[in-house]
Amino acid sequence: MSERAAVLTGLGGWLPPVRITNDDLARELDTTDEWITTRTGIRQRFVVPPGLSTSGVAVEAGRRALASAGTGSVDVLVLATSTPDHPCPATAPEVAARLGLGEIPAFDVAAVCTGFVYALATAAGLITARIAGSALVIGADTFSTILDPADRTTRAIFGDGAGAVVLRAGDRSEQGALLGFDLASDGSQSELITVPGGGSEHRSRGLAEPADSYFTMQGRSVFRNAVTRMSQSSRRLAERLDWPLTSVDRLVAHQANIRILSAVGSELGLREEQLVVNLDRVGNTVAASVPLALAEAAHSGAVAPGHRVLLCGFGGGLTWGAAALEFPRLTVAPPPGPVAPRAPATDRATA
Amino acid sequence: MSTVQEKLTDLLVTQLGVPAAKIEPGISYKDLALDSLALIEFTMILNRELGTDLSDDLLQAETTVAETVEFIEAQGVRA
Repeated sequence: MSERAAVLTGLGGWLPPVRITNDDLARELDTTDEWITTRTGIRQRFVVPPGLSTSGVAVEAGRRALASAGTGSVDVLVLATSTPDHPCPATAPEVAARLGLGEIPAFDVAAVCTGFVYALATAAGLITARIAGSALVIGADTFSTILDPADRTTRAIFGDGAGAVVLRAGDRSEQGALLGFDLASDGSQSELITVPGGGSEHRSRGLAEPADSYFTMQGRSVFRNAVTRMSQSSRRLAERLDWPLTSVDRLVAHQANIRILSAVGSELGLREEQLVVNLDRVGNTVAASVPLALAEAAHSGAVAPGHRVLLCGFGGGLTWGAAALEFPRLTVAPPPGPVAPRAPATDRATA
Repeated sequence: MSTVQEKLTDLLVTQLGVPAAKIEPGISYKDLALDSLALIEFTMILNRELGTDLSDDLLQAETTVAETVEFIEAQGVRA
């Protein structure tokens, strides 16, 4: 029996041109390559040059995903970001206009590092509800614009970038069909990951400290929540799909920190090759993290047609979630930047 | 039956790769070269393996192995 589903048909990623290595940071801040690498697993990150903001990186990733899908039009654009060009209006309509997509519905979804998984679920829902026949979903952030320049921790972790996918209406039995989602939040812990100022809450109380416009997070509690929530969401979705975790070929988790990824792998009992890792080369790119890692893995062959793939995210809110699909055959261009293929190409039959 | 101290030592060695010879009651996590993220990892391991409910900020760089044993035993765990 046929069942309408949203099907992945295009994928692309983009990194801005300014590369910052750990040694570059060590020249400016009280830190070292060794300190950053052992605590985060990150060796370099890319940031936007003056004049380039989230809309710009989103447009580049969107263009690549549309090219990968072999199309120039979609019915809706959903942009996941927590660094919009402006507090108002949303950035998505401008991105749609710059991509020449016409007067389509376009809106932002804010769920920080879980943003892409939330946006993917939103777009898939619009397709299965027959509100749209196709969608462009972009995860884009430029966290370099909201970091405290003197904070050695956050500046080592975060990078800018964008990743995007194109979805079309199809059947659940097709390769690439999005098979399920698990989404959750816990607003009682919103203070763990936050930009305290700049919004209505501070303004309504007459507070306007410039330092409050910087991003902050409480490392230890974020670490524990990231590990438990991503593990919980992945396990819950796999169980619902009747996928034993040993049958999941690749887990593309939010690239927060190598030690978080390793701990999620241990919690779920995954082998090292089941975890997709690219944060050593791009850092934590927030909403771009999952689609950027997926694009890079698809290009290198680390994620191959037929692979059972779980995507999962965790971020401010707190928010977390997971999505599942069997990976389709796609043509994916490599994201720009000195990004080397990581894992050997393996088809499911030979994995 | 193993003591809490023996169980804690075993987890430090097997889960975090700390050399067994370095572990003694009076040594601090700083002297065992465990950083702040390793301490939250260890807190999660203890809670999972021993059924404790140690808070995220309980173990600090200066906390010793003996103090950790006291925290665990205060929660009624006897290994």
